[in-house]
Amino acid sequence: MSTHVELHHRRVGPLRVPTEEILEIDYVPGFPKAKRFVLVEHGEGSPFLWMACLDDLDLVFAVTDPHFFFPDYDPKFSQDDLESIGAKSPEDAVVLAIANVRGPVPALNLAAPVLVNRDANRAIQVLLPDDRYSTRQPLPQPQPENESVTGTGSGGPAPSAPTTAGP
Amino acid sequence: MLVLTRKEHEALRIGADVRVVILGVSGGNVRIGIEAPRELTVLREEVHERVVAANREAAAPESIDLGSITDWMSSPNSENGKDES
Repeated sequence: MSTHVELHHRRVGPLRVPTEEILEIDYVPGFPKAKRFVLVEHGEGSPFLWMACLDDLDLVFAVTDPHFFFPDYDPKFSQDDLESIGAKSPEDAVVLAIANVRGPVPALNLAAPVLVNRDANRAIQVLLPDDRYSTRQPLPQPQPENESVTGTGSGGPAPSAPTTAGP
Repeated sequence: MLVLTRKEHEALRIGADVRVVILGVSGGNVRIGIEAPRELTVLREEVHERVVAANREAAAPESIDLGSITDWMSSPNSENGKDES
């Protein structure tokens, strides 16, 4: 038997969240009171998820698997980062990037990805110490499907969204 | 703001758990060592501020308009980022 939290998120709509799917995040820079989030599917076929805050019902981020857009993305997480979400190895964690669609070209924050341990439902926004990645990396221009010139994307995995908090 | 003067290799403590050591000073740079419990995040301020700004912007209503992003994804010939070879 699982219990649920039911609430109306002002940006996402009504949510019914099993308590065991609530993500605990220690600290989101800029939103120090936001500690509990839930991942909600954006829509069928969409590579995006809502990361909706349960402590502030006006707060939501659009997140996605950064590797879907940037197959070479390779952030280095420290052992402390992993341990802080109860993960033993990077394989225990899912990486998400916060999207920002303001302006003409949508962008992802690759400099501060969200690292999620779905088993423990703990997450952390990691501020990568190096300068390899931007907080506002424009998404690559989508290619028409019948014009696969480069090999980077072909054969790659589908936009494997992490397990989401479905209804 | 509390102001303290320290020499190289001297330290200070913040509470019981945090120790800050001045490792060296040269050419306007100060090297600082910090011993703190791992649950305390220690960051360069400018890195932190950049992420604060990015998060606030990303949470703004016009930044999460995923309808527009999916439109953008399905329109390869939009005006930006053209890289025709």
